[in-house]
Amino acid sequence: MSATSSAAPAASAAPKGGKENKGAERLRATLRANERQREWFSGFRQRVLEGGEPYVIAGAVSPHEILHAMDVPVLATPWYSAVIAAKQLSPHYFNVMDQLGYHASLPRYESLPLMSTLADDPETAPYGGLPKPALLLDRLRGESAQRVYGQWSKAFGGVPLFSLDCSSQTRLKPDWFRYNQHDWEDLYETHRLDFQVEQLKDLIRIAEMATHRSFDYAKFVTQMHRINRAGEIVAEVRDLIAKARPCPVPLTDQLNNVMAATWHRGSQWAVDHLSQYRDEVKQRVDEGFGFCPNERVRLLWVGNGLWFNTGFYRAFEESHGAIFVWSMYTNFFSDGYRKYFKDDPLRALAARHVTMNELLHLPPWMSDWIIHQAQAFGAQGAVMLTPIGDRLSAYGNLLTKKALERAGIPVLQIVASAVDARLWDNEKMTRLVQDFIEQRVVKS
Amino acid sequence: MTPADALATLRQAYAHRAAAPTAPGARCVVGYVTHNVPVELIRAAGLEPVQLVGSPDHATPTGDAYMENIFDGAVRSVFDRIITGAFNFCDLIILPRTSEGWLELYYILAEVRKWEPSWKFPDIYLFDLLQTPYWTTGRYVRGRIDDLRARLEQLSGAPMTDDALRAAIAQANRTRGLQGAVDALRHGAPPKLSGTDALTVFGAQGAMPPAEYQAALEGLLSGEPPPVAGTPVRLMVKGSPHDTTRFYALVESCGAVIVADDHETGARQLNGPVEEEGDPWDSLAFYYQTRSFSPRSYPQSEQDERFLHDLATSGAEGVIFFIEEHDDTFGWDYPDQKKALDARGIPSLYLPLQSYRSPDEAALRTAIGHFIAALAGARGRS
Repeated sequence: MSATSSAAPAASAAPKGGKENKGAERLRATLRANERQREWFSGFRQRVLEGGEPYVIAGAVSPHEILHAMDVPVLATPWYSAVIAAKQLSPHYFNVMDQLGYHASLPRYESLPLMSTLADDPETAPYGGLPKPALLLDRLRGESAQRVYGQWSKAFGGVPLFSLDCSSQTRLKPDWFRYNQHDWEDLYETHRLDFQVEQLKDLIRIAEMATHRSFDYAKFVTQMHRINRAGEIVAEVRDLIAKARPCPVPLTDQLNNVMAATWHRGSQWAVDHLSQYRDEVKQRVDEGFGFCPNERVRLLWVGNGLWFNTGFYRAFEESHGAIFVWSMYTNFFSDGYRKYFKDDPLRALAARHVTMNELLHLPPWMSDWIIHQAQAFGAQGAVMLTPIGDRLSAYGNLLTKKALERAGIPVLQIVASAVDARLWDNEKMTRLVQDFIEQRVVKS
Repeated sequence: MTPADALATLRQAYAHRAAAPTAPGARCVVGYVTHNVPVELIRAAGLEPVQLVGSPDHATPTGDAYMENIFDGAVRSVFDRIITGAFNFCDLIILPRTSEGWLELYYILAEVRKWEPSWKFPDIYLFDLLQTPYWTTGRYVRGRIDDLRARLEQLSGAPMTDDALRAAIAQANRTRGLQGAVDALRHGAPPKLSGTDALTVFGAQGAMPPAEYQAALEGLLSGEPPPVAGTPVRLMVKGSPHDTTRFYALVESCGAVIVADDHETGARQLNGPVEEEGDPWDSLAFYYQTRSFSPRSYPQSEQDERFLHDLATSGAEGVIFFIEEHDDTFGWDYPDQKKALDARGIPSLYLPLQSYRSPDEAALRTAIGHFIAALAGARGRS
C-alpha cells in the first residue's frame, strides 16, 4: 500500500449513498478534532501562505517529528488530498491526470496534490494551491513515490527533495505487535535501524539548511515521550471499544479522533484531545450506549478507508444491525507508533517509520494483526477493500484473506477505487455487503 | 566461429534459459532474477549462476491462488515456476529489492512455504539493493554485499578471496564490453543486427558460462554480419521488460528494425564496467547501487538523459512505449518523455496497459503498422 493512501485524512468527506451521520451521536471530541484541523490550517495560512515561512510537504509515512522539533509547518499529502476530495475536486484532478497523459493504472490518491500543482490553476486549487515548499520529503517504498515527488520538485522549480530510501526486512517475525514497542531493535533488524538513523541525521542537516531552522533536540525528546503517552491513551480506547457491547463509537468518529491526533502527534494537544476522546468513550460504555441499537453483526473494515463515502460504513445498521467496529485507523497509533526508548530517541524514531507500511500490508504481519483485532473486537466478518489503481495497497490481500478465513473470519473482498468516486457503484457494493452478511456472516 | 554460427549458439541458449546447467561438474547452482544481482560474487564463490526468467507462454494457475493478478507478469510467472518446482535445480535463489514486485515475491514465498509445507523449492535470499545515489545508502549497500558474500560462502563452504572477486569483475567487464560492441552493430546504417537478435543476445547471457558466451559474442563480431534487409524504419522500444522476443518480432515484421531499447531486458542493462582499481567489494557495491538499471534507479532525470542519449546514438526515428497492465511505475515517466520527444520532432507510439501473457496481437499489429507506415511516409517526404 502506498504511503500516502494508507493514511486517513483527519476530516472525512461528505457521506454519499449510505446513512447520514447522526449529529446527536457524534462525540464532542470528534467536533473538536475537526475544529483543530481548521485551526491548524488557519495557522498554516497565517504563517506560510501569508507570512511566507518555510514549510515542508511530506508523505504520510515519513518522520514529521524531525520537522515538528524544528517548528517547521508540515503539510501532509493525505491531508491535502482530503481537502481536495472534500471540495469535490477529485474528479477534476483525476481528469487533469488523464489529460496530462498519465495512464489509468497509476496510483490516484497520492497524485492529487501533485496534480493540483501541475494544473497550475490557482483559481481552482484549494486555498489557491500550495506555495513553493522549502523541502519535499517522502519514503521510497514502491516505485511511484520517487517519480511523484521528483516531478513535484521539478514543478516547483527545483525544490530540494529528500527521499528516505526504504530498506527491507529479511524476516517477518510473527505477531509484530507484541514486540514493536519495546523489542523493536530485534524486530526491525539492527542493520536497517543503523541505516535509518543515518538517513535521519542526513534529513536533519538538509532540513536545517533548507528552512534555516535548527533541530531542537530537547523538544524532540519531549515529543517522542508524548507520542508514546498518546499511544497509550489510544490503547485504552481500543480496549474500551473492543470489549463494549454494544459498540459505543462509529468508525467515522474513531477515524477522525485518532487521525487528528496522529497528524499532531508529539503535541500536548494530541494527548489532551485523546484523553477527552477516551473519557467520552468510557462514559458511553458506562452508560451502555450503542450507536446502533439494533447491533447484531460486528464487522472489520480491512484496507484503505473509503474516503469519498464514509457513510457506507453505516449503511447496514438499520437493515441488518451490522456495524463496522474496527479499521486499521482505530488503533494503529497505539500499536504501531509507540516506541519506548531509554537513551536514543532518534533510533526509536527510526524504528517507527522503517517498516510502517509493511506492518499494515505484508502478510503475515498484516494478517497476524488483523486476526488479533478480530478476536479482540468480537468481529464476525471482514470487508476487505482491494483498491483499483493502487497496487501497493493491494499486494498481500489474497494471503491475508486466506489467513482470516482460516481463522474462522469470513471475508468479503471488494475491488474498487478507494478514492475515485466516479468509479464507485454504490448499489452494487451495497448489495455485495448485504449478501455477504446474510449468506456468510449470519449463517456462520 | 562465424557470425551465423554464433547467432545460432546464442539463440539456442536463449531458447533454453532458466534451465539446469548442462556443463559437467557438480557445483552449486544459484538462480537470480534481473541484472541487479551481482553475478560477479556468485562466480567468485565458485558457484554457478543461472538467470531465472518468466515465461509468458505458460499460465500460472498454482501461483494465482496466492498472488494477486496485479503483479507484473514476470513476477507472477517466476513465482509460479518456483513453487511448482521448475527451478529446483537451484540450491539458492536470489531476489533483488529493485522493485516492489520482487520484494513482495520474497515475502510471499516465505508465506507459501508455511501454507504448503509439502511444496519443495529452493532457499530464497533477499539482496536488499538500494539505489539512491548517496554515501549513506552506499554504506548500507556495502553491508548487503558483505551479507550476500557470507551467504554464498556458506553455500560454497569456502571463503571468497579478493583475487577471486577481482577476476570475476574483470571477466564480467569483458562481457559488458563485448555486449556494447554487439549493441553497436544495430546503430550503423544499415543495422547489422535486428532488435530481435539483440534481445536474444542479451538474454542468452544468463544461460551460458561466461567463456562460451564471450566466444559467441566474439564470433558475432568476428565477421561482417549481413545487414538487415531493406531500409526498415529505425525504432527504439521503451518501458516494461520483455521475457520473450515475441513483441520485437511483431514490430520488426511490420517493416521496422529496433535499433535501441530502454528497458531492463534490453541494452539498458549495459552500464559500463565495474571499477577494477581499489577495493573490489566497494567497487562492486558502488556499481550496483548507482549504475545497475532498475525501476528504482534514481534520480529519474539521469535515466531520462540516458534515454535521450541512446536515442540519439542509435539514430532511431521513432519510439514505441510498451507498458504492461497494472504498471504503477513507467507511466509516470511517459508524459515528460513524450514532451522531450516532441521537442526533438521524434514521433512516438504509446501502448499502455499491455498484457504480459496474452497481448492483443492483432490490435498491436494494426497500431504499430500505422505508426511505422507514417514514419516511412514522412521519410519519403523529407
